Amino acid sequence: MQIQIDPSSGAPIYLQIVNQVKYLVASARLAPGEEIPPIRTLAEQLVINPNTVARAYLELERAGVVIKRHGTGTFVADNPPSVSKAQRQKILGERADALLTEARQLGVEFEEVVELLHARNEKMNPANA
Amino acid sequence: MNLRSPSIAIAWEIWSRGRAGFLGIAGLLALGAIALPFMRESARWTNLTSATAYALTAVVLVIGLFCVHFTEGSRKGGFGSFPMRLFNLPVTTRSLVATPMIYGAVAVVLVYLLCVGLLLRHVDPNMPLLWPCLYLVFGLTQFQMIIWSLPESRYLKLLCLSIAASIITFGWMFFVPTIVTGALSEWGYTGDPAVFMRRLLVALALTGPAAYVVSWLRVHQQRHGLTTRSAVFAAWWDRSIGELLRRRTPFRSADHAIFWREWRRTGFILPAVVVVIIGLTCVPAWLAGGLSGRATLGILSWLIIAPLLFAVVIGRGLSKPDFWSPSLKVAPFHAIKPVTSGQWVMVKLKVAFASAALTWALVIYLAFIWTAFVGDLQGPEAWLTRIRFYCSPLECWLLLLLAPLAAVIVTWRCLVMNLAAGLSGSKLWYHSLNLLTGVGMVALFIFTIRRSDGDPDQLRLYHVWPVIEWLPLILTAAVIAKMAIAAFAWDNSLRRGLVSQRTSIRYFLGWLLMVAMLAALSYILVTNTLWLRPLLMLMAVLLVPLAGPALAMRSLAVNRCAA
Amino acid sequence: MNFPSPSSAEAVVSVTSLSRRFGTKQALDDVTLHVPRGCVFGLVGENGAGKTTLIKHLLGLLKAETGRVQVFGHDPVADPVGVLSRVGYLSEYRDLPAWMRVDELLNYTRAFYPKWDTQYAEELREQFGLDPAQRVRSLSQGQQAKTGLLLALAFRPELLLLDEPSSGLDPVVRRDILEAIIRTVAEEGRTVFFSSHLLDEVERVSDQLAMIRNGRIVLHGRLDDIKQNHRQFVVRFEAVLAVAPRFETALSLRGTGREWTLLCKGERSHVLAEVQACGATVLSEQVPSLDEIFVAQAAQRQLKPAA
Repeated sequence: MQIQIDPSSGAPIYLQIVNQVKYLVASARLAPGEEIPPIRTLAEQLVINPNTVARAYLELERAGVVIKRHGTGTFVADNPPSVSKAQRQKILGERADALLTEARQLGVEFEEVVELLHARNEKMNPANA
Repeated sequence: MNLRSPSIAIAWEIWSRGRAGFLGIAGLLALGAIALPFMRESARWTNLTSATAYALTAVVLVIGLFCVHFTEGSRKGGFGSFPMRLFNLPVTTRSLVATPMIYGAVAVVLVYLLCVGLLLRHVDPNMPLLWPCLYLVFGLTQFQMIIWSLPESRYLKLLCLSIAASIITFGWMFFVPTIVTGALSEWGYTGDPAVFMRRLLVALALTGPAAYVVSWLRVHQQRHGLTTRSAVFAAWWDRSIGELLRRRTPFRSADHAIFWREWRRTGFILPAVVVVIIGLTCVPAWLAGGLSGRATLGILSWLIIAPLLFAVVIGRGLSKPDFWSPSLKVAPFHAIKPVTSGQWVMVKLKVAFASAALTWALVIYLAFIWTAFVGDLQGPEAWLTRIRFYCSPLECWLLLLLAPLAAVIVTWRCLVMNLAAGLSGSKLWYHSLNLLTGVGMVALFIFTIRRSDGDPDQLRLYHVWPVIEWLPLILTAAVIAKMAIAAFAWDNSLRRGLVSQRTSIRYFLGWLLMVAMLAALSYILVTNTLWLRPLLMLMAVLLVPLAGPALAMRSLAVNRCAA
Repeated sequence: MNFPSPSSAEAVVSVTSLSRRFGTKQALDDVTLHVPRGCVFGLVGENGAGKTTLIKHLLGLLKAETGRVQVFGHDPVADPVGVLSRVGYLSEYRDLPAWMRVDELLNYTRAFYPKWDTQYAEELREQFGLDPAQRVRSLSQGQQAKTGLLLALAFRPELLLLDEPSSGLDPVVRRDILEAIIRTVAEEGRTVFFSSHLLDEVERVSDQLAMIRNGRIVLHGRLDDIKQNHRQFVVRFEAVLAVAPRFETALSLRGTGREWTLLCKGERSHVLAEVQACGATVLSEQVPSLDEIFVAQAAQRQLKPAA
């Protein structure tokens, strides 16, 4: 499990870990039932305070993303809650904003952008055209 | 301030660093100049005039030498080297070395001339001028040469300094006409003593430039990185002797660990220095051959005095927290160890005692070998007969046992004399006590030399009768004071938890034992003048350190928490 | 949760109203802080702010002139043996005896601490890559720092005191040292107190923080709380301003013309109200890094006299 943290970014470190683990689970890089590193190992790997890692794991447990089994370790939950619709909208909405802003700056019309999206989608999934 | 030339700048540096010292010198000279005429005129104090004049001269000269020596400590080479921070200045090495040497020499000569003019003329209107000046310059330049030329090898530096110190301590006798004539006739020198002395003066004068040349070469090498620390030698040493000395087994306790460290750093120094010095003095004497009884006795006396002399000097360093560092503060590495100050002081005392014991064991061994193979036993024989005459066989055996022990105890005392001052971290206290010790030693030395004209084997008692009248009172008062201070200091240390009760009881019992042994020794030795016995027993009580250790513990405790 | 929460248990280090003068300089001015068990406490400050002086008080290397210092409930000056046998210390100056070899040094230090773990010391030595036959004077600065840290860790002290552990070291060694510290923290009940002026390190590793400036504690508390209390806003004013506008809660104010960046401390709503009262609009808002907070705190002294 590869996680990057940036202590000076402003977001609390434990929150960065929580978000990244959630993302990894949502993008299937962490399979259900897969073990995530113990608190101590992750703390040593990232060179951060183990309490911070513990807090992140607690948050994840509370959110139902991971399950802690006493003695054996911490594992990704079998039915991790999927990212809610509102969250999905938020993530994609930010990407859409960036795309539209760039298009406006380059002087590309909205219809052209839509056409472009169709074309790219076809290229990626020819079966679903 | 606009310092025009480098030499003026260096002169200013010497002046401003030694400002306090120079002012002190001026003060003492003024004091002497005013007080001495009065003392000479008044009836009560007239006997003390010469002593005061000499004492003031000694102090002034010591302070003067201290101010102009121009060496600085460096982290690598132990105590002292040429100030390396001056190397990046745009000054040739020639003048960089010459300037402090010349200024130092001039300053010292000036101070001496002032002493003669203001202080010593009340003692002897015809004080010699030339050879003392040359001798002082000789001392200073040799000291500077040794320190500047050996920046990295501290043991070699120590050795050379010891040799130089020995030569300087006794070398001045070669310039006093009466002593020289006597000695030369003793050694069968057929020639004019005046010519001999003149040649010696010329040689003395030449040592200055010679020291300059050597220093210049070595400083030049240091400046341009041409000194090779003899890496080959260092590697060989590490592989052979270093491996032997390497400590592998774990220590049984913290006390053992501290003992090992102190021994490795300071304990071996006294035995090593004494052995080397004695070797260096005895080997030439052996090669010269055919020594008379008096000379043998002289060498034996040197063998007995040398450990004490060096113990006083080395004791200066031993009483500091770290021998090799000029700082009086306890390094945090040692200060944070979970040991009490009392433990540390006790270990230092043990190391000093072991050091003294080893030194005397070596000295006695060497003395035996030397007298057996080389010396003429006529002088010692006379002593032995006298002792056998006065003492019963049992007493003779006890004497044989106790005398070395007494020597060890006295040496031990010399080593740990200033322990409380050294561990206190206060430069004022430390340096002033050292100064006092130095002056006392010089005074004792001069006293012994001057009072032994005529019969060098014995100190005539009637010379010191006036002092002896007061002695019982002084000694009793001193003993009472010592016991009071000891009681107070030990009680205080015990209460503050600096030392455990067990340790203090054991120390006190050890102290009683040593005092008893010294008292027994004085009882046996003194057979003629019976009134001397109680005095010697009182001195025995004063000799063995009792208050010193407890005061040292307190000083160390304060030093540790005043980082 | 595996790890004891920092808010539980009694304080390992307790400093109350400590003040210290060196000649004319006030090195510490009425310093009060408490370090609970199991906490990683970071002390940040500029050079000469008083960090080393404070740490020396905790070790009994300096005696408290006014105020009280207690470590494990005892005065380190009155009871050096009891306190120091439970404290591991890494000095800023790495004053190890230069003449000893590494294995002699370990052997020597071991004699003082009954709880010395030889096997653990060996592990650490190998991990740090220290040659036992080498003399300390021929070790590089980084290796000396690692040796010092080894000596402080090997007997598993309850309190680890580190004075600028990363000063003068390259990033590789710094990481090694931080990792070793993290491993110490991961063991139950161990407290770490370290001083540093490298704020990103402090941010990664500390639970609680204190900022010291000219001998005074200007910030003190949990790292998360401190970061929550500070906000950085970019605001836009209607008119062009030549001089910085006055804000009560602002620690620092930068900018020209219409757009200004302010770093504020305090309740978010309060700050927003103040900003709006001045007729400015908030363009963006973020949580500042510790570095920015520290610089702003330092700059605040320059703002205040104008008030």
